[in-house]
Amino acid sequence: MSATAETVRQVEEATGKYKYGFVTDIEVDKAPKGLSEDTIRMISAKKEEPEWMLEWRLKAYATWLKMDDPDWAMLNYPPIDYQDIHYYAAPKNADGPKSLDEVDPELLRTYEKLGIPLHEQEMLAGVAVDAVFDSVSVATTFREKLAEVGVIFCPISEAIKNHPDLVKAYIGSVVPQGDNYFTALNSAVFTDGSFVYIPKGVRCPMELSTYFRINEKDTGQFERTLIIAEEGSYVSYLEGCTAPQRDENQLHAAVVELVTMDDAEIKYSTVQNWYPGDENGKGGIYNFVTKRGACRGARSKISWTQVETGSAITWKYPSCILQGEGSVGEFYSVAVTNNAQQADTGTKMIHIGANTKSTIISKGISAGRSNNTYRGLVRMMPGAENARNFTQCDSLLVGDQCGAHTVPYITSRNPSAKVEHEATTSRISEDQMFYCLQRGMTTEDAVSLIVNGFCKEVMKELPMEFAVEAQKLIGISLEGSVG
Amino acid sequence: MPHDVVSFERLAADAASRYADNGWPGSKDEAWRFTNINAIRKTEFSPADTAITGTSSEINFIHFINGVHQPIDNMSFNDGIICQKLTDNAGLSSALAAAIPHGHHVADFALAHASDGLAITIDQVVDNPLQMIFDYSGDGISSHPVVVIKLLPGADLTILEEHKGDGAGLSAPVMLFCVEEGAKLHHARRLIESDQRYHLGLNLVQQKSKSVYSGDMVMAGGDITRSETQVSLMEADAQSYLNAVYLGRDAQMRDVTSRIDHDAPDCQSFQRIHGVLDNQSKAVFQGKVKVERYAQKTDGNQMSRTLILSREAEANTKPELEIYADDVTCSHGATIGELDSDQLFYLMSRGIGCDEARQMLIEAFLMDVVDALDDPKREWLIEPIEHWIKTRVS
Repeated sequence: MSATAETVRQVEEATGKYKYGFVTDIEVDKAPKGLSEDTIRMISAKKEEPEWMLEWRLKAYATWLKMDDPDWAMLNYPPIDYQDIHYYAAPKNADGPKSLDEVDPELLRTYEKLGIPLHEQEMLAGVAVDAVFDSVSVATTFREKLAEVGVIFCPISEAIKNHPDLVKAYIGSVVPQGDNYFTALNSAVFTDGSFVYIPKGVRCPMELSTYFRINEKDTGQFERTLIIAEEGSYVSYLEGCTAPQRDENQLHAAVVELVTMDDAEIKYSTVQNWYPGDENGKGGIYNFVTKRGACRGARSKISWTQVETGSAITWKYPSCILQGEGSVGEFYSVAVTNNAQQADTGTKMIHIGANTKSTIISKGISAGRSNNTYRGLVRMMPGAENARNFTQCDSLLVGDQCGAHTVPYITSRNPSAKVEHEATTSRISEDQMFYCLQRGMTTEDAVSLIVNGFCKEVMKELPMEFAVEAQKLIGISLEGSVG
Repeated sequence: MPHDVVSFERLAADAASRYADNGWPGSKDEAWRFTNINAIRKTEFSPADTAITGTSSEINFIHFINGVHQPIDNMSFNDGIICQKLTDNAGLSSALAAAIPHGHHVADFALAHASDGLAITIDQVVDNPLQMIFDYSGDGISSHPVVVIKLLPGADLTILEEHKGDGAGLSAPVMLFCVEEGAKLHHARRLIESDQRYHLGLNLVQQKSKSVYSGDMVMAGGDITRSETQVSLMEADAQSYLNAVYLGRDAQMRDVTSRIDHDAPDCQSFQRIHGVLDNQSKAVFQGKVKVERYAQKTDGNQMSRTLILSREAEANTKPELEIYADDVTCSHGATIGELDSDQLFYLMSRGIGCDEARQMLIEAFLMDVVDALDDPKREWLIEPIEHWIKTRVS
């Protein structure tokens, strides 16, 4: 192939790369742009929320007004105009569909395009799905089956109405409203999200899944997820995200709170594939997310697995507060950045209880002109007797225009606690490439193979449904980065 | 690199105006987040008197009292060492002005109050080490020695540096080492000031092509002691070694901060930091390695290990990598923990008492850093380590 033809092919491929970049044309109910107490009252009224919830939101708003945008991350972006965003957008006939038949067929087609097993596939996949479209949760599948064992899996807006005691007891207990700028904003304006309650001793019979989709122009998505696992229970939760291709940046500021009691376990997996912007860094999602889990009970476990390939900007630190004796926190992460993407991501492991253990495996891959930062904190409190932490963060550089950074903070106040941290930075070696190429692989296949090998430790932690998708995503994200 | 000509007087005046604007760093300052210097901020220090008494006539020996060097006329040196006042060497005062990191609180404080400094040029291989002894005394007195040492191409020098003394004062030495093409600087520093003193030091190292800087430090004294080293690898094939041992007890604070800028290809940097913390002492090691886009084939390596001996001690580590070049090998490792119980058991099962076994293991952990050094550096650094271990109340 001539050099010109090769370039044309590459450009075509590159431009058609983000396959979720379509827009669904359905009628939408939108709040006017801007944020004020009135917007919050309106959101609360739309959601038919009780008075305490509105007060909670207004308190968060008051806190937010007093805070400043954080600037410590290695990220560059123009100031966000918080008055230029619609804080509420809902598909018009989404007011509580009784069954999937009542859901707008246009929406269902969207989910089909996204490959979400919402309809017929639900039986095959055996995954219960809650799909959040812009600000509203549109359909939750498998609810009856889950209800049989006592599992509650519903939009959080419904949980506020139907299970107010549970929501009241736990919301904001892991991530306080004023934790940071974006949690305060989220607490004030969150529109929907998922609520999961696993009763004592129940092993959730299937994997739970939420798909988030930002569709409408100029909207922000502020979802809130709350998962409570009572004593001895187990749940595996999957989360996926996509958005249309737009020239403007869109804001996504979510909060996820997890709570585990004695011997309970939550496995939380994310494949984040928000629109990353085009080759020149135009458009894309600003992803400012606060995720935190509290291991309150003894021997409880929270495991975060994330594959981050999307977003123009990623600001995200899924964390564990290891309070219960012998509790375990895990963080497995792959973050891929290409073109002009920027990611500042990592985790926090706060060891409070004795014999707590945490493992951090982070793999950062930077290509194009992107910057990828691992930022982590491991803190051993005085009570963390015999606690253990092992951290490994490896960075891979693809091309000489990108950056890979590592910023770990390690603090220990207990001599019996052991902390180990390792970090390496390297690139795909010429030998590895040569080996693959001389066996007839294309450059892109070779890169994809090598990178997937680099990430293997994390990929094996993903549930099967996600692992295949994630592998492909990594290949797609790095297309055009070598050669 | 040509600099604007900046006299020492102007350098000091500029620093004074910056210090007047910025003052001391606060806890929100990222570079100081683990080091609480409230005790220093609250004290009104008066700059040390510039008159100096008591001098030494030893060869290659420079004596500073409260930051003020003995008269140059009283000093004698081997061939190859040329010593001047910084006010008389515009070349080196300009180099210092250009090297001071922007908005550096400690550098601005020190330069604002320093009356003069030393400019030392080394133009050949010098076999005998150059000793610099900094003696401090007096309560509420701040001392600000300023030294610029330039090794011309091919020069080779060993520096033995010591900071000692008592009184509740503050020492804020600022030093710049310019290591030209192919030159080698071996630098051993021991900080053994008494327990009431505060020490905030800044060391700047600039390396040209094929130069070698090997800096080794033992930090054993002082109440709040911080040593910050910034190395800039400006030309290809330079090598930098930074090793440090820090020792903390009672309520002392130890801060070892380093920053290595790889600004040229094919350079190597190696750092090894071992710390031992006893009683209620606190420590931080924060080390940043930055590799610029054109600094290909960089080899950057950093290892930090901290041993905590007491339940109330606190160890903090922040090893940071910022990398913009792809063909590099960079790594860092960090561990924090107590003595290995298996090793302790091994020794005790052979009839060695618990306390003695602990001493042995602590000694081995610390010697690991300095044992491979050649004398006189080795001897210079082992002495304070052994003294510290001996006086440790187990």
